[in-house]
Amino acid sequence: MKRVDRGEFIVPGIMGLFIAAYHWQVRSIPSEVLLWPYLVTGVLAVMLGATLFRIAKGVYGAAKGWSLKKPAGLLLVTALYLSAMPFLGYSASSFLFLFGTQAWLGANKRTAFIVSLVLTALLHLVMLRIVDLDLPRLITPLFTL
Amino acid sequence: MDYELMTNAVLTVFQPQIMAWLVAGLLLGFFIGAVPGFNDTNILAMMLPFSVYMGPLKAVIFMMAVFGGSQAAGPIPAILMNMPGTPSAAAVCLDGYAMTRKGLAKKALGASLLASTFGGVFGALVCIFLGPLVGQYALSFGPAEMFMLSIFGLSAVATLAGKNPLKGLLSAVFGLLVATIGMETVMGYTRSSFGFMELYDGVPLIPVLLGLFGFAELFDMVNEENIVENAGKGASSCTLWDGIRESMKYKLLMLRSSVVGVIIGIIPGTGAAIASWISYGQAKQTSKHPEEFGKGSPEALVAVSACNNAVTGGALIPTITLGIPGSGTTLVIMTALMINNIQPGPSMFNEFAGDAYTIFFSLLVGNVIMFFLGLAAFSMFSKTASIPTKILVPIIALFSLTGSFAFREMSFDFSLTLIFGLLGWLMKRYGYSPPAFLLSLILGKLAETNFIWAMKLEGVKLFVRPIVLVLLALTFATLLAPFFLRMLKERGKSAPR
Repeated sequence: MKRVDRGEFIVPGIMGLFIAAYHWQVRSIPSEVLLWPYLVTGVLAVMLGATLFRIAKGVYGAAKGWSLKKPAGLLLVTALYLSAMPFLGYSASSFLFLFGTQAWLGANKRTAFIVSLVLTALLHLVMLRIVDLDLPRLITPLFTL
Repeated sequence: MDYELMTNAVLTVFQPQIMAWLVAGLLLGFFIGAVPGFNDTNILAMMLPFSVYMGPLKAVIFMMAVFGGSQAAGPIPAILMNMPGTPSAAAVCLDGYAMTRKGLAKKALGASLLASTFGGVFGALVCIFLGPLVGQYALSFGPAEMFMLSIFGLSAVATLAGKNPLKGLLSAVFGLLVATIGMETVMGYTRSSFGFMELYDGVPLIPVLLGLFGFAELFDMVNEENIVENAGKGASSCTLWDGIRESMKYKLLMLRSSVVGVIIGIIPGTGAAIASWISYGQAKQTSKHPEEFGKGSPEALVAVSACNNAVTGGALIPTITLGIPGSGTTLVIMTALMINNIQPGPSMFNEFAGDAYTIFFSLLVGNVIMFFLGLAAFSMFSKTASIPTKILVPIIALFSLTGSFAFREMSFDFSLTLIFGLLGWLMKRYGYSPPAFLLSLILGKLAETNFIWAMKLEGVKLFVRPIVLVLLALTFATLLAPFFLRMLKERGKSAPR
């Protein structure tokens, strides 16, 4: 019997959870406006079943090995960056994100510092000063960044 | 056709002041197109008040140049960093980025530049010579035709499914369900927004595609030293001119893709995103090497780039000749004309024929100038591919996130990009098809809305109109052609010699 890669269940799992959450949310909506979603869900359910059947039979085999350390790290620093942005403002948090991530990935600290500073200054100028996007800003008694 | 008016229009375009606005617009367009998430519609809308001072011609020519420049530069981040700034550039990612990975970034950029110029020039020529005539046909597209057009677009899924057709189709159908999130158009009920007000208008495309393509790639890139595989082993000795020469091999394909682009551009409410995928599908089915599509095929890149820019000309036809803008950008351009007391519409070619021809000719000249400006700009950008990933990954992440915010100015879109980045990475890893998912997301709403309207208007009767039947035949041809061609090939192989 072929080996089943348990990771293969992740994407169908996400799809299954999405279908369940979707239909739980729309349970009180008149079925008249759900004609198309019902049609799509029907086809999706059949195909999902067929895919799961093939996965369980080991048709797709095991995926090649992967190193999760760095992708997980990137996900974490990005989540931290997005959480810090409302407090530190877009420019300061972007500088810290750029410099921190480059240093963590092994870039020369001096190069990382210069690249981060130049890019942040450029983005600050374009996004906050010229285009005036409504991005979070760091407001202190002395200055606004 | 009034040749005297046309000659005057050409002379007007070559006036130094008009040329200066044209070049300035192209440069601004290049910048907007090269930075993901920057939206030409928003930037042009911000400039609308200034159009009163500029005068109608200069304002519209400047805006057209921004529109054309941004379309031409859209492939830059898509090719170099797998980061599509617009939905139409997503199709460029597939083969453009694969070429960059092979160390052929300059070749890819060169091929894209020439094909974009070809498409743009073709679109402009159609505007000049057939515009008033062709525009009338756009009005023949009702809900049934629009529904069939979206189904025809979805048939491109067959070419995007990859090695696992079942997983590819599953991705596409999943995309159709995700596309139903938000307010439906018939009774105004909100479907499954998960309590987020930001999803009332549906799932926004820009954050999703920046996540699915740009961010998803970072999770793989972070484990590598360089974007280019085998970097430093002499893989990258090509130039932009190699790409230009390569795309010259596909003259017929460029022409065919440009025709697709113009036709789709003319139909209001469609646009380059749909056109590029249709063009990709058509190119793959008629290619002698379909197996190379998605793995760095210049042929695919040429088809998509030519089509993308031809849409610009197509979109201008209903705007000028019928007063029906097909997209946000053409709406802004039309507004610029209207606040300067020029009413676009069927009477435009009677009352303001000179202005109309000048605008169309500026599109033609603008595309030619764009080629030469592009040679310098694309060459400069191509160096990005040689930057080590330890520097590049955080930069791409930052640009993807900022780009997703810039689209609607909602912090929610940051998270959306991250979520879809993770989903895209998992889908790619396990053999699902993020492009098929995206295509369904783009076309899902269009298909559903028009299906419902067609059924409410006249029911099934609407689906036997001539254009619907032609589109239906094209859909079947698209889906069945690969099987027929494979069968013929097999027969040819097994035939006695």
